[in-house]
Amino acid sequence: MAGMSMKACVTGVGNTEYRKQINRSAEVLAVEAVVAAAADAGIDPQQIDGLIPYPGHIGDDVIQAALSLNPRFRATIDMGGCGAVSALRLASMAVLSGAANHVLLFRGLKGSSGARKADRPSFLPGQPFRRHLEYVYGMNTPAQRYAVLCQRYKHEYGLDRRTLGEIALAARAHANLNPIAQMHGRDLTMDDYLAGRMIADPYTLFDCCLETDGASAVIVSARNDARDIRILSVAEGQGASPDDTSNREPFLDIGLTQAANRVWNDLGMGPEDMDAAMIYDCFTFEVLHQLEEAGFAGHGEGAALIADGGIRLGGKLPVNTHGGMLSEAHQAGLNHVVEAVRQLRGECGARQVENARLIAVTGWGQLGDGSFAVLGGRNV
Amino acid sequence: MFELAQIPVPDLTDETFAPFWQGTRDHKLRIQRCCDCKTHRWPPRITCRSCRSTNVEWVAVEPRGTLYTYTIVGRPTAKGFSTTPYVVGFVALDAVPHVRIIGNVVDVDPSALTIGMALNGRFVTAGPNDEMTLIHWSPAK
Ligand SMILES: [Zn+2]
Repeated sequence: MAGMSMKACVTGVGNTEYRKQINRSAEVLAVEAVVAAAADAGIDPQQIDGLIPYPGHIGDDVIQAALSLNPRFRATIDMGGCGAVSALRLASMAVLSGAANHVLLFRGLKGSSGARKADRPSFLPGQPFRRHLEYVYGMNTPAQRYAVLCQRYKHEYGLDRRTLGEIALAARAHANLNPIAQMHGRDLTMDDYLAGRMIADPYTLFDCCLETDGASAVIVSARNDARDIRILSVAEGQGASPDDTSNREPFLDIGLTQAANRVWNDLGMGPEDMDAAMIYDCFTFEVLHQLEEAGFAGHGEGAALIADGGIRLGGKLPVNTHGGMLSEAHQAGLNHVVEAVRQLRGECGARQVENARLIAVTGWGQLGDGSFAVLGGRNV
Repeated sequence: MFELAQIPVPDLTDETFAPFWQGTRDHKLRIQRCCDCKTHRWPPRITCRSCRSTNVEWVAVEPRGTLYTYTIVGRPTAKGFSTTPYVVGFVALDAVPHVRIIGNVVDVDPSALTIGMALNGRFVTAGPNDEMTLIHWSPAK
């Protein structure tokens, strides 16, 4: 029984505003989010004694110094967008083993006002493959790398552009119920979606996640108070050939497939038990792709789940009720954890999933790394 | 359509890739094959994923294949590729179908691309001093 054994809990979450451009440094933004998360957890920031930063993007020593933190546990997870959910796992292990009491996960990003995507340093594995096989053919952005996955899926199973459009529209509809969302107050219609300029076919403008200035933070603790949200189970998996997608077999295999199976087996639960899902939505198709790989729909059957409002509030499986990375903010997946926690606490106002008890969260990054968690509210 | 002279040249002497680049210079598509179990592999790796052997040879294969997947790039993002749209395809080789080679697909209206279409590779010099040879793929006649 999931509820019987000792579980680590998410005790605090926090974030700054999310905007296209904020004239403060990523570090200043991160400090604001960390202070907010500590206040949310009811602890002084100095009680944070574990740190899991997001490698390569922010000077985490600056954060540590700025807040006079004195961590006795510190580790990085080099798994890109998979890292937020993977960090829940590492933080759980740390607090349950006694290595730390309160472990901080944080992101501070200048995604929008920093350098253009193609000009930023790449953190992807297999850099020689990128330089020798991809850049020389003009393939150097995430949109291009993910587009080829979507294109192949389209060939194998069929895929209507309007299905991708509905993923974008559902995200936007949710963002319009979420005052902190970067795209709050900006309607998106199917006509707008279909008129989006081509980025990397089949992806057009509205298939691609936002670039955001902002920060977020999550605190995982060895504590189980009334407001704390339990991390019921969390697992990772890697795609075959984790440094290359071009020759992966099966081509659409991702680490999430194994990660989700591990969690379902661990909990004795299945997709049908979830009240909502926060899916790492770097691109529209990756929502459908991960819904299938995590078992929410069979292979080739994701579109049926998405149709008729299936992933909107009130639908069969509300997905990304904050608006996700497509319409709330790009926080490399940490905002998905924040939203799951707020939903399970019942703090989400107009976008609240009624009686939310169990929420699944995915992570996806670095060409194949996948992570999966199920968080549980107090009434589980 | 490409500014071939502006495409950044990787380190052609990199030991993992040098035999490949020497091959394209000679207008041959060479991929790795395990000396022990004879499994072809791509991209180049230090071991055979089937038998873990590190004994490897480079063998030439016909630059013919079918389009496995692709994207039509609509917005310039890379040096040497300022004119859009252009196509990046993954080509499954006829000789070794589990091997897919990344390359530009040319001589075809992007809207006419279909997965599974037959493609032939041809060798094109690029880089500021023509120091590397790339493979472009066009529809088989
Ligand atoms: Zn072998």
